[in-house]
Amino acid sequence: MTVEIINEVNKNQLLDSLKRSLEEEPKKIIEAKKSGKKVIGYFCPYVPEELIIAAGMFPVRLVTSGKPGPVPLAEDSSKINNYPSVISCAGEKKTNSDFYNSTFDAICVTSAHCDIRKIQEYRGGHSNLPVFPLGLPRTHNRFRTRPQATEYFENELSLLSRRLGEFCGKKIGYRDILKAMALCNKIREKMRFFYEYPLKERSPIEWREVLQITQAGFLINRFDFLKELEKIEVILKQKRAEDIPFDSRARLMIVGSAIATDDDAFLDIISQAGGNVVTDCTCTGSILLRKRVPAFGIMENPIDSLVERYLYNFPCPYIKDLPNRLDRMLKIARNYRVHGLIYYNSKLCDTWRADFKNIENTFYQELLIPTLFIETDYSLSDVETLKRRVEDFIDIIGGRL
Amino acid sequence: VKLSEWPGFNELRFDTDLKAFDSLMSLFFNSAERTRASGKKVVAKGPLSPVEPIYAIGALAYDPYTHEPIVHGAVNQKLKLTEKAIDAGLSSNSNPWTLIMVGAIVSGKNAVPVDAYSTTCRYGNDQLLDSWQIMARTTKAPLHFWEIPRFDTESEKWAIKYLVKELKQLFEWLTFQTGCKITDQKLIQSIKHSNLLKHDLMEITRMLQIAKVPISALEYYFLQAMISDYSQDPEKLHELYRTLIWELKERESKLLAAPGLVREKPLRLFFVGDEIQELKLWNSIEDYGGVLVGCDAHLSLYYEPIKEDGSAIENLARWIWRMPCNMPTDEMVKAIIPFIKQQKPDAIIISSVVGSRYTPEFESFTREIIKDELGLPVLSLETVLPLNNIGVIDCKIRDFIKTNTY
Repeated sequence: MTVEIINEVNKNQLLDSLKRSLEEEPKKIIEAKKSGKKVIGYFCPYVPEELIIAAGMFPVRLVTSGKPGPVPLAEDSSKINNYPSVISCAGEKKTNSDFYNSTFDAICVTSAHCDIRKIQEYRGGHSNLPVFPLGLPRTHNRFRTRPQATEYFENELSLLSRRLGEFCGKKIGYRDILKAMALCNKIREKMRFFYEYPLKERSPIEWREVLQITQAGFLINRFDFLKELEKIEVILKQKRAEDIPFDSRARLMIVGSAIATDDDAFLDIISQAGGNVVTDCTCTGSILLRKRVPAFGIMENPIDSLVERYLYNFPCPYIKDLPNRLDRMLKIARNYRVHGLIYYNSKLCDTWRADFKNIENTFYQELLIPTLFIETDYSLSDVETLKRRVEDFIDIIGGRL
Repeated sequence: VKLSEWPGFNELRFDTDLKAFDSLMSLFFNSAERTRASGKKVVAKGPLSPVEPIYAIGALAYDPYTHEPIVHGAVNQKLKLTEKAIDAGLSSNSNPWTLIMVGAIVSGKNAVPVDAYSTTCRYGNDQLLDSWQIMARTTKAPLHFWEIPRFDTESEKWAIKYLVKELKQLFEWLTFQTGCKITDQKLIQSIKHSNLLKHDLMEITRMLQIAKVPISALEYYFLQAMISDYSQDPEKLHELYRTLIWELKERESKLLAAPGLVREKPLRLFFVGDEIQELKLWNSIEDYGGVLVGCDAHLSLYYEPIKEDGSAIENLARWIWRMPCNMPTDEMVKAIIPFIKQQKPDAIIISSVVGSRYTPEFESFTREIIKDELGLPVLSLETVLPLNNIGVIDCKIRDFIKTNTY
């Protein structure tokens, strides 16, 4: 469980309060549901949770999986050779073994990733849960040579907003969206600040701890989460750089598929092998945090801000703008002075798999950064092999340095 | 060379009485020479990506996903090409059709030379897009994706508008690649040609509705597969379809069934799901007392004709948007159910190819909807590379037909 993981790495009591908040969250959700509040589940980070919050509902991002156990249980609804995170969630839903996977009242679906989309459709169709789809264009680019994508996405967001409003019995107004955007932006600003700590070799917080904060943020009520972030920020600001030992471990960047909350086996292997992950390009990590889009100011219609934030942010491999993706990754790797790249590919995640060769070559040609490709599921059958490969990779990087 | 003399085809039973079918297969296999001789640019497109824009610009459409695996996998049995695809960056867990296609192209062994790559981004074809990306990158050929927005009746207005603009940009790209400019007239002409072929296939499919089915499963599979890229010659394909229809009508009028059918009253089977490389399957259906009465693998390309009056580009966009393959799975299955019903099947076969992201992951859902809507028995088949499945498939088909016949 998420709480247990946080416990394991909670060396400095930095995350104590967050842990408590996470423990209390299920009770709070049950209470809120009794009073008529609704929970919307979603997988993809391109679902604008601002709209869910604006409708007065709880957004829950369904990445609370990563255990091998529930996978076979989902076989009746899904083939075993589907995207592991999705079938793990489906298995958990079936057994009610995870609170968040069994609590949502409706699902919000983007068109990104075949497996995610289809399993969500299945869930909706099978359990009569309302499913709110959102069309996400994939051929647009940063030069905006396809302006039709902007107009299309704007309309899709308005439709989603209307449907969510109808579902919760409330008309979502611009003010509601603006308020939700302001809240989400504050959270993102704090998270960005945390993710930037590992830029330095003397960091009071490790990337992995920040990832765990992020993952907790997928589940906790966003107002409570912001308060928790403020507490963490206070603790971090009190720490003086000179009191923190210099971290000389190999600096690594993780690129690839979503990292589920219990998908910690390979992160453990990296730590045990002496690697220090300092940054990432994963959709459960920091990739969508980097773009700042104001809630108030130039934009009159908040939907325009949402378009700007989601459509023209870091393009995940579903969006076919590879040059933009590569440029941004290189910039991050350069800023964080990365020594090696771990390319993490969940088995059957075709979208990330197809980019691998390009990314590997570009990182080596541009920055002389070597890449280690890891393709795994949650079966844990390959732990020993992975361990050897990661150790060898870190040895090589260490030797090169 | 007779069809049955090809290495992978010698175990197959063809309907040698159909003269037009031989010519159709020649058209399929001599694509390379014809495309070279034509001097036209060849644009590789996905199996369910519409070809009208490509033919309208004067280029030739080519579906390597269907063509290359049949040539290299089913006929020549060069299955090692899959390794080349994995080296090029595709996952070993991918659909074997995709692996053979990519393997053939990145190793320069493709049956038809390709000048450019362009396909649709539509609902549920992520793996295909990745393979297009890899093929274009490896062969240093230009690549263009164009998008079909998700199907939702409430979003029709802006989805069509979006699709029209995507098509206009596709035309610009094609103009740049070929040096030819598209006009409304050319697009209307291309739509008219494609409608003729759609009507032909609808007519052939209609003939499967009768009690004495005049065409065998293997032949019908190839006829359907050829609608994907018109075998780089829409006029010739139409001509051959018409000749074949004439031959089939002869059989129909004489109340003759296709020669392979062993039973007087065979079990009528409709095939749903992924295309299948295991061609022996089509013969097995008949060997055990079944008959194929329909197949939805390419149905999206001829589900209805494109409107010919009014704005050509809008008509095309509207038709593309409503293609069943573009819909969410439950709506897609519901959209094809009327087509299944009119073929009067007794049972359904759902095909999934291991590694495909289309049917396998959703086979159980498809099965449930079909069972609910039609109340027919369903057989699920799962296949990998050609010749690796036939033993199991054979037993499954035999038992399924036997169980449902008595």
